[in-house]
Amino acid sequence: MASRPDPTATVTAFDPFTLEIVKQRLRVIAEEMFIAQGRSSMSPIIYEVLDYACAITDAGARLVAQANGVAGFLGALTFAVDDVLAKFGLDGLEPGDVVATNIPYQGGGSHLSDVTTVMPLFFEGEIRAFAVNKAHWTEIGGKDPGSMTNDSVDIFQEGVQLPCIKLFERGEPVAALIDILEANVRTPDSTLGDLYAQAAALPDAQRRLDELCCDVGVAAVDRAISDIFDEGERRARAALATIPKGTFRARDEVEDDGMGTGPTPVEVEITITDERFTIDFSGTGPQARGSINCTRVALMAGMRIMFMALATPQVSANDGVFRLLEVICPSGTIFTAQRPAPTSTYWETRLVAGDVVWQALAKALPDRLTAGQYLSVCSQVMRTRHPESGELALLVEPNAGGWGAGSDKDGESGLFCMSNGKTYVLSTEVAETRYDVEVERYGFDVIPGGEGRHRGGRGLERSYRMRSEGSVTASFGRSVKGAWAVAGGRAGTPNYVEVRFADGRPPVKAGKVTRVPLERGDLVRLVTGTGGGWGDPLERPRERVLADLRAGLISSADAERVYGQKDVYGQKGVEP
Amino acid sequence: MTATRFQLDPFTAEVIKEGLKAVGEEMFIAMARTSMSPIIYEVLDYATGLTDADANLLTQGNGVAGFIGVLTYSVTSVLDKFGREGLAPGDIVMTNDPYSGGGTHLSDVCLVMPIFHRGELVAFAANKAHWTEVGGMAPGSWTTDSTEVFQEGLQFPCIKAFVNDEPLPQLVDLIRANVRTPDMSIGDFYAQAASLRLAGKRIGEMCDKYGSEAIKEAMAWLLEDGEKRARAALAKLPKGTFIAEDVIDDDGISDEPIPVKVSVTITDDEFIVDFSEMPPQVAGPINSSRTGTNSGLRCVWTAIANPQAPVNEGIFAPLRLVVPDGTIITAQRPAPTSTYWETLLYSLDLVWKALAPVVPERLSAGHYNTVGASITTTHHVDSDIFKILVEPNMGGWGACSDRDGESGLFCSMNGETFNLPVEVTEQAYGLRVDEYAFNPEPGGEGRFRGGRGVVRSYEILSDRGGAVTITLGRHKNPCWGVDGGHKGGRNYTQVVKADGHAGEPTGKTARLPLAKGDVLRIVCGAGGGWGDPAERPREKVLADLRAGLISPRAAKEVYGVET
Repeated sequence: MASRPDPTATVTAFDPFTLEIVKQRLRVIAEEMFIAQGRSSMSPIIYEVLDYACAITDAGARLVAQANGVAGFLGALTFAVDDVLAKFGLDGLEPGDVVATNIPYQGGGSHLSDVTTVMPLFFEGEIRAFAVNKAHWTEIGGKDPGSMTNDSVDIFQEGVQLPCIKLFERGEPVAALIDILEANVRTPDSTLGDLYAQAAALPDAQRRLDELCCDVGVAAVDRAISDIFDEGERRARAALATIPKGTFRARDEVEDDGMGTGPTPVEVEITITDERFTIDFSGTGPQARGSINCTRVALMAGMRIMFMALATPQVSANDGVFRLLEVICPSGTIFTAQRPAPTSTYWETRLVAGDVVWQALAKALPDRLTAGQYLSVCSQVMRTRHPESGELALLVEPNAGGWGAGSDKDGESGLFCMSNGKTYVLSTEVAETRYDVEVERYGFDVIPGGEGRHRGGRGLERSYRMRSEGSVTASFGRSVKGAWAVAGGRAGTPNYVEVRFADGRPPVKAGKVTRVPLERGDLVRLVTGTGGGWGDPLERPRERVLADLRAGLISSADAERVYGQKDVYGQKGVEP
Repeated sequence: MTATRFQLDPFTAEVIKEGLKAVGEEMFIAMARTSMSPIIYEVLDYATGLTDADANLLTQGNGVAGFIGVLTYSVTSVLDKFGREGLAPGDIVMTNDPYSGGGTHLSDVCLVMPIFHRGELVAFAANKAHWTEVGGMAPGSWTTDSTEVFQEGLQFPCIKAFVNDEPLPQLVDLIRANVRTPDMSIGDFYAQAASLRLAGKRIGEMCDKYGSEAIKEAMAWLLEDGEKRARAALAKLPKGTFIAEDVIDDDGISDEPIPVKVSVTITDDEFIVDFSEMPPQVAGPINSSRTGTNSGLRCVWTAIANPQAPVNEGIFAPLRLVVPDGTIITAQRPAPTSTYWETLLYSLDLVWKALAPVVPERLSAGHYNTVGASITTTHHVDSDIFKILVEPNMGGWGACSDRDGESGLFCSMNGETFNLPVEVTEQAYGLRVDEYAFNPEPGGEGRFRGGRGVVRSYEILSDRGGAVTITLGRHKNPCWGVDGGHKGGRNYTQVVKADGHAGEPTGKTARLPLAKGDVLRIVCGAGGGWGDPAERPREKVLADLRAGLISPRAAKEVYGVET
């Protein structure tokens, strides 16, 4: 048996092979946490949709490696570790402590439903790293089932706030706090299940770090971490060198918040130099009365995603990558709302922040950026019941839609929005088994929009027929104007929710619906938009128009009217 | 309760008994002196007390009469959850769970401390207080339009808030984050804990001085004495079954009237209150819980049996409540309960109504029967700081068989609370009190007339306006008269806009916006009358007229007195 290195020995030189293995093992820690959490969660939004993320940071809260379901959480986790360090310090933490936060204005950074937990990772009595994960809990209390709503006017209506507090001390849950959580949420089994699943993933990281430190020694681990950062920065710098320098601007607006605020103007000025990528949102309008407010941490996380997409799509996220990024925005804007602003549908606004950056750069970076996408998480909370037990069940899910066309390709159809990333749709089978609904249609929505030399990807329609009483709350942003197009392409289509009532009342159709009561037989149509087109539709080759027709992605009327194709009837596979 | 053989000489026992009562009083005063909230230190919306180690109430200091005896259930829930073995010196347990030990609504937070002497559990101290804010969908936490408890604030489900005399730091942080007025709520939390510790110190001193066996014996003596008094009172009451019915206006969510009924049976041994015919729990927040109902009954029983007797568990020995779970007065989780008092008042009032004709020396005609609770939010006109003004409002009490009713008094369950002085209101909240006067509107006429209700009007001064949530029961169904006396007046609220336009009177509002210059009128009605108004002596009618308590028209049309 090979002798192991003294874990505390100070070593200055490492062979590159060992270092590479250590770096990969650090990344694997985050991946393993991710899998452990997914396997032990009780909520479909975690184990099916993957609305969560895991990471490890160094002892200074710098991101080492991250495993994502939700891209929107990318780079968001380090801020929670910052908070933990600011509040407790390295001296105020013990092995086995688990600190929780969901405060939007601080490290929680999104809305109360997203709970971040942080565990200090010790080796030889010293904190060497932090394990951190963030997940969407189906229920965290508040005035509406599912905790997300459109008509909250302060944070106190949106659920229980966990203000960076120790939920576990030295590995033991704090009974008083667990009891409070159990009492204050509507689905205590599922919520506590989510908490325990999340907390269970953290000690995995401790175990793996112990093994790693024992195998190679602390010095090698430290060196590997600083290598990861340096490599991240080096690659980001190299990538920055390949994109055009200069100042780019765009303006847009955040739609009405449903509570009388807005539309709210947003502005961005992006300055790219060899050294720095600066995004300045000065000039953006003030925070809104309704729940669409985004906070600084969410904005930072959003900009980290944009920066990754633009500058370094091939590199895995770490602190070094973000060293060149600078984000400027005054406090109190709709992107940087202050306590006690409501934030439960914050993503609508954060997506606009990402999108306006995208707009500013799309023409300058045609090889990286497409035309506009449907741009909303398009999430709903449907109150229904479990078909067998009859217990309260909340169907919470994001909905996929159409992405914009690129300069050289059609847009992707039926993909989650940019803040969602690698999440999955809730399969129709799971939906029908867990909730008292029937999925009546799940298909592309074929209406005019998004045409171009390259056309936008298609949005989707997902329709639920209620099998018993319930209600629906949904926020489908970009419900007024469709996704933006480039170079003569046509704009995409808006997102919307339509409720058709079985008793023949006029339907409700809107971008935001709040607690609409549902009866058995009512139909809830969740419709997402088509992405924007790129280039003049008349330049689209005839054979591609015919292929779209055959695939049922456009109508023959549009083939003639928008694409200028005559005599499409009778073509192979095209029905009159 | 079995007779105890007492070892103590009666003088020492009496000294200890009075000492225990003094501890209750001292806790009460300590709380008022240390609280940060006007609703505590001015209105006295709290109660403090001691129980023995088995949760038998020994003494209770009340602001709110509706809290009488409720502390028993708080302590019982602590024993149920932790057991004697699960409690240690330095623990303080916290509950506001309406369905168990909290018993009212989430705003009323109860802290319970076990008191040990030389390692032995000898007593519990408890303190229940109305926090101005516990979070939830509405500022001030209670509202008229909640449909689940989750909307009504943070729930503390019988948890250890202090361990080893140290507050759980996570809990303090959690409260601070989740309530809209953290300084007030945390201040009240510490004030409550301070009053409990004071009790612990005093009981410890008494145990040191007399020995814990003597203290325990005096406690038993106190309880037995209470029961003796209760049995004596019961013996004097008429025996039989007495029935009363009434109607609750609505639940705030729908307009449906809610019929309610009680059957009271008095035997030689028991005072049985049967609510079996109560309707099921409702969608709106007027639901009351079994604990709340029990304390309401304790309140009315005390009034009937022996209002002068000190309150302890023994006094309540003959009392028996019969009611299934899931009714409007025994609501189950997650029914909303934030305006529970409207219904608790009905359960109390029904017993009162059933017995008033047969116990006329103790019970008056019906009173205005609402706490008249309002939450007025605005920004202080001088400091521009957000303010939440929570207060009860006064109304008229019913006439008695031998005298007129009291004017401008708080409702039966409010008891010894005080009104917020005009000066404090204006100075602390930055609005203007335009009017604070008796309400001369018709109602309550009789040989003896009901007491007058009160009008209180607030003018909003802040440019940022404000909002009001208010619940006034008996808006549609005024209180009852006896023996030909007229019904009392209606309770209502209305907003008079700056241009003089008066809004529709209503009984319930939730977060109704108010603009600068708007005047909010809170109007409570007169109590019910007793006896035929035609029998009222002419000189008393003329005196009422001179005092502005009735109108010339009422004098003529109801009393037949021309002026």
